[in-house]
Amino acid sequence: MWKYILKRVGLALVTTIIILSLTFILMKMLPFQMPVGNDRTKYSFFMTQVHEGLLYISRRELPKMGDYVWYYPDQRIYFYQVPIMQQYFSWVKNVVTEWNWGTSVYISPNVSAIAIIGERLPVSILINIYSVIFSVPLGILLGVWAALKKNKPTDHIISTGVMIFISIPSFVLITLFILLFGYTTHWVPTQWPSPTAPFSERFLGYFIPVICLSFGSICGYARFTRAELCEVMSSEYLLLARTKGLTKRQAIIRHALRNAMVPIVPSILAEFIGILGGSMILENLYGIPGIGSLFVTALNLKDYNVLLVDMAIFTTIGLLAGVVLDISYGFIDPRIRMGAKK
Amino acid sequence: MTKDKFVDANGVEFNASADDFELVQLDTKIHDQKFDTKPTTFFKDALRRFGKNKSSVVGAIIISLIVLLAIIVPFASPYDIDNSHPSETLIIPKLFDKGTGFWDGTKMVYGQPYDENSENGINPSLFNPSSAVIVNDYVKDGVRYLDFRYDVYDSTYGLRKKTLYRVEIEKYIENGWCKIEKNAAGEYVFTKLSDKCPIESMDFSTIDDSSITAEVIQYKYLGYDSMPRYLFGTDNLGRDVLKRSFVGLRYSLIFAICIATICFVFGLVWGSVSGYFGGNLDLFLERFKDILAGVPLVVIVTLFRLHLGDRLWVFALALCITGWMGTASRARTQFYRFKGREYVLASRTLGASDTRLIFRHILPNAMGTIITSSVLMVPSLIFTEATLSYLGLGLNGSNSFGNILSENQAFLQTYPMLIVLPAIIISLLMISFNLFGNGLRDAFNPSLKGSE
Repeated sequence: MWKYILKRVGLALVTTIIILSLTFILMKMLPFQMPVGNDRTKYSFFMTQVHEGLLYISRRELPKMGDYVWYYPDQRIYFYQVPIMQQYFSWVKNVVTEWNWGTSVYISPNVSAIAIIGERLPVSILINIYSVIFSVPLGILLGVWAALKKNKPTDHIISTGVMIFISIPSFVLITLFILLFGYTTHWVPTQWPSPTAPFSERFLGYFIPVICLSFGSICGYARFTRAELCEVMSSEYLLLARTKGLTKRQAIIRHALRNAMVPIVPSILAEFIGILGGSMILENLYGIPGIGSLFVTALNLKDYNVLLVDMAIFTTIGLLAGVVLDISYGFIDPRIRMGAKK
Repeated sequence: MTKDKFVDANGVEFNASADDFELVQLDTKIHDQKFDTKPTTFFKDALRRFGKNKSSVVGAIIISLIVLLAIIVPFASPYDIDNSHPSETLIIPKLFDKGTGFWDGTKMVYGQPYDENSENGINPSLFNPSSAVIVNDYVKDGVRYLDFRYDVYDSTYGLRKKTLYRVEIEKYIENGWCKIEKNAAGEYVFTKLSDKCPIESMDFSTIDDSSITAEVIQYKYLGYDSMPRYLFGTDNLGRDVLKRSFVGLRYSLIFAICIATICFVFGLVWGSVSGYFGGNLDLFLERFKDILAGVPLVVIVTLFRLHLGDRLWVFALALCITGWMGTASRARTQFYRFKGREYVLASRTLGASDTRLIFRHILPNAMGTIITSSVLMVPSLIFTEATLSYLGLGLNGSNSFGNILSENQAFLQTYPMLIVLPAIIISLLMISFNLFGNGLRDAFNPSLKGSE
């Protein structure tokens, strides 16, 4: 087991490093983005870049280095870009030794990209935690209910509802909810409330994000739970449990539910991590200052360092979710040996 | 011959010897009986089982209906969506005739200040007062206000007073639609000659060098033969949303089918090679796929856009690069499943080449499963395209469905129907595709045979 976990984590780590390196190199191949601001702030930005080992500094023009990036007339200094592979190794050194992922150029100049992300990450995480707390019990409950009433009207209604809500694109759902609860009934704010807004408004502001993120997961859990429980309900050991004298309730809670939960719990863990990447549309439509809306902003403003860190987060989240899913299978159900030989 | 004594089932005794028996089928030849039923193929059987699944059939019907509409509507609809029409912007959807208050092209206006100069208090330069029904008339803080419902179509396309220019009137006269003469008393007289002429009457007291005020039927003035009726309304540039939606849907469908085909072919080749040859090659191809699968789609689209620009083929390439992996995984699994079977081994022992094994023995068996699970690639691509366009990462400036939705997003508060109706179409398409896909998957899954 431990060998498998180490192997799986190691592989994910290697994949992450390869992807991040490629992303960095591809981003650095783009034309250099000048920071905003006056010459003084530009100068301090360029000097940090020099210290980070991404730029050369020179008193005279160096035609061999190609075009200079910037010429600072006050001090008569030319700034030149270091070759990309050299930049890459400096960047790796900065990340490993100082946890320095570069500086923002446009969103808030001269602030480190990690600080910007750190400011935005809590909002995204909070919304996702609330939505998981909300959706897991509800989804499983609906699934269990549908499975117990299999092929009866209750089951048909739940299954149809799940089918419909799973198919509707999330942006349509978000738009309709904002329209219905925000603009028409005025129950909740139509935009993410600012931090200075009164508590009641900030509290109501969570309504649409949590509901919209939950809907997909509720449907997913309900469908999954129903399918698993239906399969367990038709198994022989449940028949045996009934035959030896357990009531239906006892048999379902003690035997059916526990076994049906085996594949559901890992998917909850994976979803908990994976859902972070799925809120990009929601954050953009509802104006939530999280990492998803930051991505689009950074892309539109061409703030490449921030974009790189954001991409790194999304990539890591995706890979981590896969690893957690695979490993937790083994922990929860010892019979399953992922990647075992024969 | 001696007869032995027997007792039958009822306890009656009787005597019998071997001579009393004779062979019934002594001279007849016994053959296997031929089946009277028709033989069925795997495909026919799958089709039959698919037909039993009612919801999938409904899904299939709705899909074909929407696809048919996406083909027909862009040709059949007479409205122009390539140019903007400044006088026809943001018209309310109309399906039913006037009077129901629901989807009938009428609009409520609240708190409009009372206009003392007009007959019923409604400013004629803003609305067409003749079509308005006053709901509420009240005074607040010493100012008189009106709440009223008016017909947007009548207001935009009905009879209204308008300043016409000399050039326009000369054009109508040239076409022979109307004429203006002086009568004996020296006054101008306007005569309408054709039904096509938009002018109903002219106010000759307002005549000057270049223009005149006249009562004009607006839809004729704008070049329509009859009063237009927009089922989905018009957008901020005066374009019919219904036609735009279906043009967008056609665009998105063609785009998705092309990408899905490319992804399918590439994935099939990749997965087959990986699955058939196995070993180190498989290991290498799988690791490569793992790394590529680790990059989120948004990241790939973003990098492509930054490097290669905001073009159609760039977006298509980004989708192709991420889309083939599902098919490849399925093809690989199927090849692993079949390549070890006895019949393949037998064929190999007889000296069959790799080509023959792949194309004659393994691929035909694997194809059904791979195709059916790849059908759902089309809706997921439409979905991805719409989502990315909605974020502004997709096909900017094109007529794709997601683009149309994201353009109309700005009018969510004031004209919600602009986005609600196209959103219903795409949701309906997605629901039907999912129902259809599930039915197809179950029908082509041999392990579910006979379970229903």
